[in-house]
Amino acid sequence: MPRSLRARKLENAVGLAVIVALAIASVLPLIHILYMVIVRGVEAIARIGLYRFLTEPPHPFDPQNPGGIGPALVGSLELSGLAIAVATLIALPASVLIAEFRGSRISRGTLLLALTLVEFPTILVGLTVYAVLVDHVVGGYNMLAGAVALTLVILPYMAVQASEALRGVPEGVREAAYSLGATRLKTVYALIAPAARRGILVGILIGLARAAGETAPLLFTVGGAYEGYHLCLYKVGGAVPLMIYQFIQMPYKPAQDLAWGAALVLMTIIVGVMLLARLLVKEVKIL
Amino acid sequence: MTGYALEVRDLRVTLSGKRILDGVSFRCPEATVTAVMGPSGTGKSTMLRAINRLLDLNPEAIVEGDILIHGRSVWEMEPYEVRRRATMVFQDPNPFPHMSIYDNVAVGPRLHGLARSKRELDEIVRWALERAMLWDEVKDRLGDPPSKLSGGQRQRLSLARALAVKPEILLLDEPTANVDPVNAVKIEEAIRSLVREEGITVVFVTHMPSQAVRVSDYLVFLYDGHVVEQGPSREVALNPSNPLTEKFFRGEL
Ligand SMILES: Nc1ncnc2c1ncn2[C@@H]1O[C@H](COP(=O)(O)OP(=O)(O)OP(=O)(O)O)[C@@H](O)[C@H]1O
Ligand SMILES: [Mg+2]
Repeated sequence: MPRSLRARKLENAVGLAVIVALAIASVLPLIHILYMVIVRGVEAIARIGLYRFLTEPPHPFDPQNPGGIGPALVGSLELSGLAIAVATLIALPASVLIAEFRGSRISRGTLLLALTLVEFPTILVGLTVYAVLVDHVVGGYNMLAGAVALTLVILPYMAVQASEALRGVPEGVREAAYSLGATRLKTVYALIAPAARRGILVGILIGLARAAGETAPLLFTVGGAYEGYHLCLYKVGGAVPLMIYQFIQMPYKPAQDLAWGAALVLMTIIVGVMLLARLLVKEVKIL
Repeated sequence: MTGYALEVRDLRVTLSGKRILDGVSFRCPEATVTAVMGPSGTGKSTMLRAINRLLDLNPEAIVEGDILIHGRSVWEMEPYEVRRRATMVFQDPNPFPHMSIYDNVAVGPRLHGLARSKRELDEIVRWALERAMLWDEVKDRLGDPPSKLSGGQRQRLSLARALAVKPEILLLDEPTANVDPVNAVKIEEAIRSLVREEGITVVFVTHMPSQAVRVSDYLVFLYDGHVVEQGPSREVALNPSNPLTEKFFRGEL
């Protein structure tokens, strides 16, 4: 008896070791990415100083004064800000339709559309917006097209996420809310949505992180211009992930350094937003 | 005016294709308590949800028959009007977790515009909490979240929240089932005084015969989707005419 017990313990230990080894192996690439971005990013930013790196335009061919990512950062803020605002305005009513009017045809249709769009390749979204807004309406790369493409990418995701947050409100709370006798819309907006507000906020934050990090929808919409601040919606502009994509491919050291620095900034922003979202999720669980 | 706050006529309910209630009729005179009893799964909760049209929210539910509130059919009213005139308190305490104790009670009056000033709202909140026998325990911490209350206090908060919209009828679905005896007594007292002093009509689902006799004026006994016996509580409890009712009171059903 004790023998087989020992054997089983050994088996457990070996099993555990294998699992730990596999876990480390799967986390290694992530650690490597973090390491690379931090080391090369810090190197690039330190050369010019954080403030100047964040505010100055880039000089990708000037090893003496490589400049920074100011215009791209502002462009990213403009694009993500617009996308998150418009997407939130549309996603919230859509999620109410999905979650609180279940059973109706329009509700099921909305959910199906949202689920399909979530899986839709983002490059195709960019391509479609290009065909309409860039090629047809404006006649050139423009920030508006980028904002529209980003909106389309994050909107379905946010609608699904918010509808799941609404569905997560306990049935008892939902019934009690309706039982107070307000109209259906009032009940949802005054009682049920606030009860799900953290979950909805998490969806908005993750949407924001995606909007800030997506590259494919911007490839043939925004264009990529980094010399000065381009805030005009119907003109060409830039964004941080697009800048990384474009600068890393240039055969010049200063351009590649700029890309690494930009990568570190982007990573910091996204990790920050994600951490905030995690914090909110944790608070949800405590409640 | 018929003198009845609530009349249920030949109520039939089907949920997901399954017949739950099959012709239920009873009447509740104004300012009385009617206890609804019956074995588990007979459709007592379903009946309360049919009365205040909460079942409208379930696309799988079919409700037939008539329900009258003070002589007017609920089918002639908007569902939200019905729900406000006949509010419901559920078996599990379910205060809104994201709102303070005060806001849980104040949110109904706010939604219905019942108070014209902060003072009037304060008064309604106080009235509802006093009526639910909770005021003394929470008056110094109205800003706390309901998670800081005990289960029994939470249930009384749910009662206060339902009262604050000034309903004519209260539908109580086993409000003391998950509550300790001390809190159960408080809820029973609250119900009696609401009926006596505020003229509210109560429909009260309970599993406990002793509680039904203590609290109710009339008793409706449901079995398998039918009313098998009804009448004044004492009479039915002491002298059941139907063998099923008798069995139930002996605790054999
Ligand atoms: N949404 C639903 N869809 C289908 N069937 C349901 C639904 N809700 C309840 N039922 C069924 O309806 C029947 C009556 O349920 P109900 O909750 O009304 O009984 P009850 O008398 O309140 O029981 P209890 O005393 O246990 O609370 C049960 O058989 C239950 O399984
Ligand atoms: Mg029940």
